[in-house]
Amino acid sequence: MILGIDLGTTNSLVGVWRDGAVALIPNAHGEVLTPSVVSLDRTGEIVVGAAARERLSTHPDRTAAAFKRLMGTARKIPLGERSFRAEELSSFVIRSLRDDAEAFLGHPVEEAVITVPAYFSDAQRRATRTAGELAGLKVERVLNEPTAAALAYGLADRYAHEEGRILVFDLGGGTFDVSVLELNDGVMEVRATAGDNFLGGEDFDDAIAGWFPGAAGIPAPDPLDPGPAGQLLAARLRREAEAARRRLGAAVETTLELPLPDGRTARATLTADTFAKLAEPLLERLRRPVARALSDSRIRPEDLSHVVLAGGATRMPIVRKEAARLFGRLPLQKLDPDEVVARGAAVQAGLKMRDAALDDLVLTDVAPYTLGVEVNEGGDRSGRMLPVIERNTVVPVSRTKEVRPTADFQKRVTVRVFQGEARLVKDNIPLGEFDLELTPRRQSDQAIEIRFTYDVNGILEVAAKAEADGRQERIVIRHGPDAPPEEAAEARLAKLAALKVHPRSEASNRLLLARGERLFEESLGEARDFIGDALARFEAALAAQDPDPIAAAADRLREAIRAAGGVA
Amino acid sequence: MSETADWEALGLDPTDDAEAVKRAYRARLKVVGPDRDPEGFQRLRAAYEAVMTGLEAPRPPAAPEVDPDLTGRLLATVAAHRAAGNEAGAIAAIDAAMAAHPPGSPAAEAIEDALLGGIALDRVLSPGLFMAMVDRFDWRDANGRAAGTDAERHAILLDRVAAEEWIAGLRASADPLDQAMVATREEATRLVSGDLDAAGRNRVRTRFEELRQHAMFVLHRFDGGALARMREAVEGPPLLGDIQPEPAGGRAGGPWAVPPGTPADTATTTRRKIPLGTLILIGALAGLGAGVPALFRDSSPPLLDATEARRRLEAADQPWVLFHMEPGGTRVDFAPLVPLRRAIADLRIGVNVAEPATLMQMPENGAVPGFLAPAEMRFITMRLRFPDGSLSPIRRYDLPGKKS
Repeated sequence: MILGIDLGTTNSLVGVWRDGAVALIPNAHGEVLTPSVVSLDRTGEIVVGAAARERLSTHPDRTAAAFKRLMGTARKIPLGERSFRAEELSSFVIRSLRDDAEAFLGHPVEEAVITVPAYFSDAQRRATRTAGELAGLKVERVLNEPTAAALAYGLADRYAHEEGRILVFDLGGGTFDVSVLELNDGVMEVRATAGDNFLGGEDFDDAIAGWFPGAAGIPAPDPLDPGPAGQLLAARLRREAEAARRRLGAAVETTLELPLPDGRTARATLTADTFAKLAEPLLERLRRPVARALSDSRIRPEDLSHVVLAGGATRMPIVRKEAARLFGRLPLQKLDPDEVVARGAAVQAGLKMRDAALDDLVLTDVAPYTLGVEVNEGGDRSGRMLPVIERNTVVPVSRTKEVRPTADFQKRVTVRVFQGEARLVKDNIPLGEFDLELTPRRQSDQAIEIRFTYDVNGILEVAAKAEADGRQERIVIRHGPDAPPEEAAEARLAKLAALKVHPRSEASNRLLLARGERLFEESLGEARDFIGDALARFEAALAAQDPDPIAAAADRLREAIRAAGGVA
Repeated sequence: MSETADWEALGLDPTDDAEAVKRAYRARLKVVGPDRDPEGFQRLRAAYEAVMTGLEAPRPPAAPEVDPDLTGRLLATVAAHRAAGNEAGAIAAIDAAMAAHPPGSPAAEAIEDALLGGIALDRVLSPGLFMAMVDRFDWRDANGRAAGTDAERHAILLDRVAAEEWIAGLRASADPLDQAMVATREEATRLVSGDLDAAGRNRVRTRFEELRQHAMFVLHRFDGGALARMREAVEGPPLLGDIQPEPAGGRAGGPWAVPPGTPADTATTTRRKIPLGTLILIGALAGLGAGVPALFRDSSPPLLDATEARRRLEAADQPWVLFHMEPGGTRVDFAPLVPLRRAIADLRIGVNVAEPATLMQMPENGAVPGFLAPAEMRFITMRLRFPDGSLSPIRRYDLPGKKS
């Protein structure tokens, strides 16, 4: 069995292809959405999901969210006394999803398809693959999210005997992707992909959190200040901003309340109009990738049979309105935008398993970026990018370009590999470099063939060959510039495996505890004392590991939480 | 792969029915999909693309489908805002025009093309409006629509983007040397007091070299006084690079009065100079800053054809240079060469030296080059290279009142 995993910025999901259909797998709380949040508790155990999410506002220094945005970078994210790379944090989320899947299926799983934003770079894709491997899964395929969304829709459409061209508008928690696809005779062809790796629902929350201090007349909390008026307050404000954004989906205005460390409460009312103004610069950025994808696919907007929305952030009315305005028509939202990518991942898993129900469905995808080498074209204007594989070339693909040394009798050339759409390599992303030794010859007799081979998972191999004597060098681009030092994979795996992750059976108790802690922090007076007392009893019962007292204490804590106005 | 092999890979007899080719391709995909048979898939895809290039009708240009008034009106509105100096108004007009059309629609593309062809390359276009268009139309993309529509224009456009980003980088820089480059002379003097260390001198030299690269678009935004101050900080008090050592008697009192052999002299000679050519070119273009309209092609005198221009250049009564007395000193003006430039491959000049060695580019846009003569300048020598590679005799022009 192969899992289909949507590893999201805000939430992650897992699904499988079973009995000719997609089944999304619920976590221990019975929900298909698992927050992509990881926290380290006092005992040094890892907490993942809803419980970790609660801890964002009570233990911001020990909890991390939105780390997908740091994938492929060398950044270490501190969790209390330890620190982790983004792919390590992601591996905890995947481990938790795998546990849920094994509980659901009743047998171990070892393989997965994991989705990534189509516009993810080489380094980010590799980090995602590593995250899967660190969670003990063989990553069968790294699949582009909008392609997955289209697979989910394409399948539905195929059964409805619809064919045509679709544009997938995928605004997730942290990334924005646009793909244009053509569906015909059971062949799903991605024609073009474009995107913005730093645009998503989280940015709308940031905009609200940035607006609030001014509107409420309080100084902006500094997330780098460890005091109560700093990190803790900033974390709470962000939580409140996110809640307000969700409330605005249904209401024309909403009031944000932020309890301050001095006992006062800061308040400000956010109207839909103000929010629209705050969001304007973000909405403006949606247009460019759409234009690029349409222009590259050579498909006119009026020739699209559907515009499909995917990603949780497309639930926002202002985003739906903007999408409708951009295309001059109402977009399609037959499937839940939070689930559509995971559903597509499960379909791809089914394809990988050669499931009979999917036998005549074929998918072709494209390389999202231009890949090339640095060349110097004389004079002082050095460092141009020579494209070898142009963006939106159908993959897998292998292409060659011929280059020459800049001078006669050169002893070696350095092949520098880049990805990106800028003319000069300094504005593109370096992927790696290597030297090719040459037998010195005149420039005119020294042809060098550069070959790029790009596979379906977006992994690139570069080879350079001197035509005259057949000398050859090649590299597989394993690491981006910020990738980790070549630490032995097994050592890393062992290090992470040694970390205890809360067992699935305890998940509901952990969530209850985390929620109680948050409400304890947020309430005042009698309610606070009541929760504090119930929390202490519950923790004592948990420590004693005796089932009956645990159940009783849990009931009492739930009651206290409800009394304080929380959800238990 | 041969054409026959392409058709074989598709499992099809040659046809010009594009739909039949697509159907055959899709049918073959079921056997050699990208996952099932990556090698076979690549052969199939290559065959498909090769066959389709010959069959697919090119995408019709946006223009015929779009009301020509749409772009005409927009260009007129933008022109009116620009004439009134209203940059924000012009940007808003473009934004409003684009908001009315879906991205990728013929109208949106027609608007982009009209602006790209109409005003994007106008050198006097305000930086704010230029960069707003670059962002709005994704013009940084070297592999996108604009580059595909008109590669040459787009390349020039990217040169200006680089220049704008360079100057914006200087303005945003925390380095006082960078700030001084874009400051007024007074500020530059305050920011850069005294001499620079070797690292500082190198940084300024680099900046001057960059300035030379981007000069065409940004030079008129620099304060000549500040640049002069920066140059002094690198090279010491002004002296011309081509000045020959004079007999000992003539050297007293000047800034170069240090006796040879002293440590100070060594220090002076190890200072690498900003190349004179760079300075003259910058000086020449800076002179244009005052008269921006001179940048327009159509305001320059008519070009003579190469034969006629060559005849004039070789005529003894045709001056190659003019001197104008101005309040600040004598202006050296190369205007006589401008209408004759078809017969000039390059021009070398020398100041106070018999052998002209400094290469000077003739501006391609028809702008009139020239510079303000430094006080030490007594005469200028000039030599032309003609397009056939032959060299003219050297001509020498003495500055009025400074006969040697």
